Amino acid sequence: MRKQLLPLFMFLLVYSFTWAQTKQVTGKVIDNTGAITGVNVTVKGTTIGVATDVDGNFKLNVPPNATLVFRFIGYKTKEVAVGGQTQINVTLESESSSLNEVVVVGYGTQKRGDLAVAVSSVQGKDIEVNPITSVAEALEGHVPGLQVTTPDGSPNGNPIIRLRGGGSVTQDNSPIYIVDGFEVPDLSNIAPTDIESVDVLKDAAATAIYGSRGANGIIQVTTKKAKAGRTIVSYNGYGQIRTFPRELQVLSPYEFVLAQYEYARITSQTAVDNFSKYFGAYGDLELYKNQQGTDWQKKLFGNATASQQHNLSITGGNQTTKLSLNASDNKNQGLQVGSNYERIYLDFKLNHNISDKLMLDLTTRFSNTIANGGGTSGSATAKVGTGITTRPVNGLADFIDLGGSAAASGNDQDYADFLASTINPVTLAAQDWRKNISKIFTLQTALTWKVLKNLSYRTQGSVDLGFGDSKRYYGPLTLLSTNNGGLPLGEITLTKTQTYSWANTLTYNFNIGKNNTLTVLGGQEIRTSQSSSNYNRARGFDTSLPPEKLFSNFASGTPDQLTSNDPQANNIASFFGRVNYAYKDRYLLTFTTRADGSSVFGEGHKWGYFPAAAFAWKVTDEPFMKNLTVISDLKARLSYGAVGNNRVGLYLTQPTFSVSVNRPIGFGDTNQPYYTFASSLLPNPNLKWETTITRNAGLDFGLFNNRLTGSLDLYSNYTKDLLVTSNIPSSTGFAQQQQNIGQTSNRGIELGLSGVIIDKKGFKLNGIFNIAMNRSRVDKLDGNATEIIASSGWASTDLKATDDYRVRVGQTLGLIYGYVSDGMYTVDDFSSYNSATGRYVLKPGVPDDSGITGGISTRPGSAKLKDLNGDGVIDAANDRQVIGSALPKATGGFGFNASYKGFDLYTFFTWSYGNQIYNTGKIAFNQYYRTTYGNMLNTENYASRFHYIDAAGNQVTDLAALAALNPDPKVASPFSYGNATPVASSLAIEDGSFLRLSNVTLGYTISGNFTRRIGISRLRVYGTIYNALLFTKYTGYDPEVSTSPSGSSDSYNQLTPGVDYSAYPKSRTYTFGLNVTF
Amino acid sequence: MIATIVASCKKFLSPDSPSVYDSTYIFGNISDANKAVNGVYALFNTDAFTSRVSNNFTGNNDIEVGGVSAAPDNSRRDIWSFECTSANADLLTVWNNAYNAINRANECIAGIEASALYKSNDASMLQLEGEALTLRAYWYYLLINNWGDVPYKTTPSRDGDNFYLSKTDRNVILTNIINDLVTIEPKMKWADQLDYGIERINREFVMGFIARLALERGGYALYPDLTMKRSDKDYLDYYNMANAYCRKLMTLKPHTLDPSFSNVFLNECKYIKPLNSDVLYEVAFGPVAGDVGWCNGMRVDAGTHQYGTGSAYLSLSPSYYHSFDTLDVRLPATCSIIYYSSTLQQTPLSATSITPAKWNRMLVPVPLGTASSKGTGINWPLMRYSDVLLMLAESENEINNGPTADAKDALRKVRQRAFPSSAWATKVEGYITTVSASKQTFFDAIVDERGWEFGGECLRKYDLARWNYYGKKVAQARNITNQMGIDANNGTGTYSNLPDVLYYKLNADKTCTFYNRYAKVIGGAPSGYSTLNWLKSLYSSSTGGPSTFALYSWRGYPDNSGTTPLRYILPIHGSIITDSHGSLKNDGYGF
Repeated sequence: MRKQLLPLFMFLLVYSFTWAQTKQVTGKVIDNTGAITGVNVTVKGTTIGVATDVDGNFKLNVPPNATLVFRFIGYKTKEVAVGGQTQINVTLESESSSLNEVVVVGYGTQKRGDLAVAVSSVQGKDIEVNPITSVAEALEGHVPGLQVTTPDGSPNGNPIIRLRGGGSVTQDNSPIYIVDGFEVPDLSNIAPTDIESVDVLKDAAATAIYGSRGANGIIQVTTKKAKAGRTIVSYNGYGQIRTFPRELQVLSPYEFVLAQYEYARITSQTAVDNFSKYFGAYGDLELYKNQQGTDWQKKLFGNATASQQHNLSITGGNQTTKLSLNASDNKNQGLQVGSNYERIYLDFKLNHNISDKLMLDLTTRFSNTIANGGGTSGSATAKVGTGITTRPVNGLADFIDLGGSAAASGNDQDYADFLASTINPVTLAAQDWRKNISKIFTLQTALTWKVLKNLSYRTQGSVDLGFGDSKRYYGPLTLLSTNNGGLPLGEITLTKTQTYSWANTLTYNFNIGKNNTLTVLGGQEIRTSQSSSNYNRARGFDTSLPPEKLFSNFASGTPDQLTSNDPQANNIASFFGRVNYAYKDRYLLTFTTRADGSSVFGEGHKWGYFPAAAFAWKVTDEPFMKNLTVISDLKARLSYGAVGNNRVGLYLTQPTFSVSVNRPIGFGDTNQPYYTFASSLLPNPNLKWETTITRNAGLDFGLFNNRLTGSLDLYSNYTKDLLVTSNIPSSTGFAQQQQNIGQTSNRGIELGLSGVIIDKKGFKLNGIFNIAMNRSRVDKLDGNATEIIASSGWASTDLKATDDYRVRVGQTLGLIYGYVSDGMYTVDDFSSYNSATGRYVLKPGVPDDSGITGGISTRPGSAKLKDLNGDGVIDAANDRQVIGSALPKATGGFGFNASYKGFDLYTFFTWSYGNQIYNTGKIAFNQYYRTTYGNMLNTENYASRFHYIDAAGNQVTDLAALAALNPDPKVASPFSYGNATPVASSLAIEDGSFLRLSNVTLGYTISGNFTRRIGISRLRVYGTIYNALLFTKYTGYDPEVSTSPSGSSDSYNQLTPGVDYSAYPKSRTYTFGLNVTF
Repeated sequence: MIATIVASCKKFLSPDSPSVYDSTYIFGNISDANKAVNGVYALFNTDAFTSRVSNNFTGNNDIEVGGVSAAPDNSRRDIWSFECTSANADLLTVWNNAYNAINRANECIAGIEASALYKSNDASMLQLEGEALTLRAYWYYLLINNWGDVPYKTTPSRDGDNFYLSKTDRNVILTNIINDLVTIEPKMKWADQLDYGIERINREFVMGFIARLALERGGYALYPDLTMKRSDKDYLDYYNMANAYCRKLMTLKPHTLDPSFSNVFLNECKYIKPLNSDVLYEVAFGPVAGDVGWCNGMRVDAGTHQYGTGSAYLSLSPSYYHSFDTLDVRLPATCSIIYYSSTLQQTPLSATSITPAKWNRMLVPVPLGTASSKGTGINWPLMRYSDVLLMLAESENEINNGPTADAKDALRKVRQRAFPSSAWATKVEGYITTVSASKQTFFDAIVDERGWEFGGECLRKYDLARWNYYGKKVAQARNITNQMGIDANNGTGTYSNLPDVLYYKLNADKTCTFYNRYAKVIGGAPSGYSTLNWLKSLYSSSTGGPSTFALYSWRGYPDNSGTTPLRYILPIHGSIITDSHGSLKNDGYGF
């Protein structure tokens, strides 16, 4: 202890000694609107300095003959010689041009004006005004070419982020994320309130420094820096109400029983008898007109739920040591009963100048997320369909007191069974109980050493540790339980992920004359990540045991599966370099190259090399441009480069085995573990890097004294040696193999504009606008194949011809494939009705599609599919075609930002144009799909559908009478389809274009003496509505949708985009919040 | 220094994987090699096997009949009604599972043969080699039965192999897999020498299976030109071979049939696996695995009771039910005309939904649970000793142009168990004398006997195909069903003595008493009994024609004369054709 105190003592001694010789200077720093807080005031050539306080005042002891330097981001730096002054008031000039913004590029920063590459940025101050819950939310619609899609509205859902379409066909196309120079797996543990700015690196010239993994762009997040000066405490908080914006209309209780009656009537007398037993005689059905019925959608998703977020930050320090502490707590309630999450973030930053040549940066972050609830997609038990198809009334059972199950016998037993078959969806949701706890701990540290004036060395290391604890309870009503003895099961999955990285860079600035600047960077990095898991499943728990208790008493079940997995680490070793050269600060050249070695590839294929070059010309700096006052800034950019992708699974190059207990053999009535292939793909020792070549041409411009600024980019990228999971003949024992085949391309144009529309005294109106158009194309697949057949799998094998997607050479991805609806059979299609067989006789040449629709035999009003090849037969092989295209033609956003005195108003719209959605609900909810006495959408009401019963409840069979009964039917009979025969047809394809007022915020900042008196320097209150308005023709819950039914809720299948299957409905949220700075 | 860096860099890019193993390690010791072979067995515990190829793929025939709906619906029902198209997803599931199992077996065979233990003739390793070879052969047997000529691969798949295999003649495949088994059989262990007895593939099963494969090889099959053919040149060689292996088993390891027929299946329901008894090998389903008692077996409706649901996809045809001698103990043990309602009340079934009675989920040692359905843990027999006896009888008759003493003796053993000893004089001895009149009569007796012995065990389809009896028997079943309906309604004719209606009584103890089971009662319902339309329901009074059961069940085979070959071969799934890049086609068979 004594040893440690000595340096401190020395330091104090020196400090006091220095102090003794100085004099005090005070002053105030302002700009044209008032005082500026937090301006760094330093004595030139020393580390002595302070920051201005909330009123812009500073007080500093300076040595004689000192020069003060005033530095603040967004302002021109100013120097003032102290001389004899003791009071120095300074007015800083703002840097009006965004060209001086500092942009983070790989392993360094550059001024935007000096960039030769395509980078789009979002500033923290633009993010700050809104209460966002994730970084992705902040980016949505703001960056041209960056598509952020929330696949569903689940409170903890991961958004899909795609830059310029994504090149890979079957591989992960998400960009990589860099936070403060460190790569992180995702952005979920960055508190949104902690973001300073986000830079999106788009072309290869920008991303090639991250070579291997740069193919899908890089999202660089800069978090708020610790600031020197007075300690500033600020609080941001909001409360939020979520509501269910859009309910689908289902049949009313009366319409419901009427439809059930009609179905029974045309099925058989037995069916009618059963119907009457449960719902009463036809003559009494009028009674249901008085019944309200249960609105199951509302029960499942309609509860307005309250969420809240609190964030507290403390920042302060002096010129040598700065620190900040940031804590957030976000409690988020989902629309679905029982689904919610809570996330806590803690982060601590320390920047310390050990000497004026040696700087230490340290960041630690911790986040803890607890997510509850089963959601609606993937293997969830309570799906969207549950809310729609569950019957709204229980017929006579609602009126009869069964007198308890003991008394139930004979006929009453039927009612009891019937009642039991109505599983309350809310109960069902509770059967699928899930709790996921995820803890992420991050430590990042860097040491920068200015070895020489022009030479600096930086070494940085990071540790990411993730601990997942996922519990899932399968109640007795879940399928897994019924297949496992009908008692509850519980599973616990513990995962541990660890990532370590270490990077070293050397940067040298060459001084070669006035007109030439040259910066060279060289570096090396290694990175290793590994995730291991332990899985434990037990079954046969007591039904009465609540899930929480069950997981605390796992021994009360029968052990069923216990597995552990320590997979191979995923290692990457890299060497990279960058040269920036500028001539006259006007012609800019950047060369980068990177060599990456990856452990996922086999011997001889591990290394990939990724060079890139970019050129920029600052046109406005040319003398001949001086007189053109309209154009304040103009820069032209050109770039070309190669980037790679190694995101393939493990064990793909050599045959290896791992142990499994999934569906084992049961010798001796015991499940026997067995060895199987570690990968379900046939190993391919020749796998190599996927390479994307990007070509970009861009213009950055500022007009009218930079009142209007913008960027225009054109690109043409292609990805070769695509890592494609190809189908191979299953006679090999494998269905697929990872191969480097084929090529895709993406071409597009992006425009981003930002302008000051009005800047009058007190009133400001800014606007931003961006648009992106991307055309993806499959250039080639492997040698023979011209198409890949893909299945969304939403209805598993129930779907007639399960393959409902195509990838075709020469066309875009996301082609939806199916039958073409031809409306319905009309009376004119039939020649007669045979009352003996109960069949209608089709006229010659009219094809019969009942083999596909599978419901009531073909008759007037039953659904008709087009016989595309005209052979008189409707079959999967010849009568299907591309019926929709899921990728949008253009996407974008625009918004306005106004302020008047203390008020600020922010609006932002996002839009998408030209994509189609495969609305599976339109199929499943407009027929009796896997329901017994279930409900349908209101599109199938008696007046709209082709019906077969008259007002008296009698079945009409005669052709002419049927025509008279249905003068103007809107939709075919829902009974055209069998109970398990959904048909993918053009009926389900809908226009997915939309315009959404995604955000409107009104805020008011209270400032002045009142607040200052209670110690608050700034107080802002605001209200925000998210998803405020939606304009779309789409009939499902929300057009911004892409679900993958087979996988988990956040997995996205590149081959089958645009499926709306049981997507968790998006909410409309009303937020009220507060920003306080003390 | 540089060398060190290069070396450590190399190592960094080829990290260890603690959870995976290579082939050399796995086949370096018996315990791990066992687990590798378990991986082949595990592919029996998939839907592709349990509910599909072992059950749903084996209807419809004259015994096992799955319910077919009014129109083809692209589900398992189309397979039942011979109307399956290449878009049927079940085709893909089974095909993929079969080749997955074959490749895993290939991996085991290659690994075992490369191992030191195998080279030193380690008995356990040889046994494992035999299990892997038999599992591979079994899956090829299933593929051939359902698709005819199929791609044939005997090495573990590696990159660089020709993936695009075309079809290999089924006779070539059969010959090869028979030869594989003939070579390994003497080196294998008897069930009573194995850790898991009849749950593991054993020497006696392999002998029986060689006989079954040989009969398949020597029998008829449907060819793409829609004719039924057999290899006339050498078919008799294979009958000789089947004969030799049945004899070899009966000599080297004679088994005793369980004196009680129903006990064989009761044992399976109760998880009892007797050695040297009836069952030679059964697929072992562990806790909550397997569909026996769910899609095949007694129907049990869900209720508040603890047994769950059993739904019986395949029913047994009324013509089969009434083909039994009423004294035959196999009739009540095979066919159930009651089911258990949600309150466990025994309730009569209709004549078109007679369920297999051999397996009953209510009998398993610990009740499966109220909400249980699949996953009964009941094992599925792949071969019983009575099959070996009847194969011997059949091959004797074929080779010697008529029944020999050995043939009759084998048949006698099977029938003696089927009848109470009091009836042996007529039902066994008298019967055998009658049917031994000629080669043809004895053969037809074998056809019948196999039907009565193995009803519900899903062997019929393949037997009928190899005998070239499929069309004939289906037409017969349909004609009989129709005639039964007509006679029941008219009160005259061949079947008019059979019950037109059944009289039954639901008792307070939840049992059900039938007044008549096998004969018509004149004079209306006895007091206290309710009436159920029985054979009457096989005729539709509204249409004045056959019931939907007869109209739909075999719809894809409209020939009532039974002379045209029945298309039992299935198309290859469309996606397999696509992925084959032209090496496979659905050519022939009228697809």
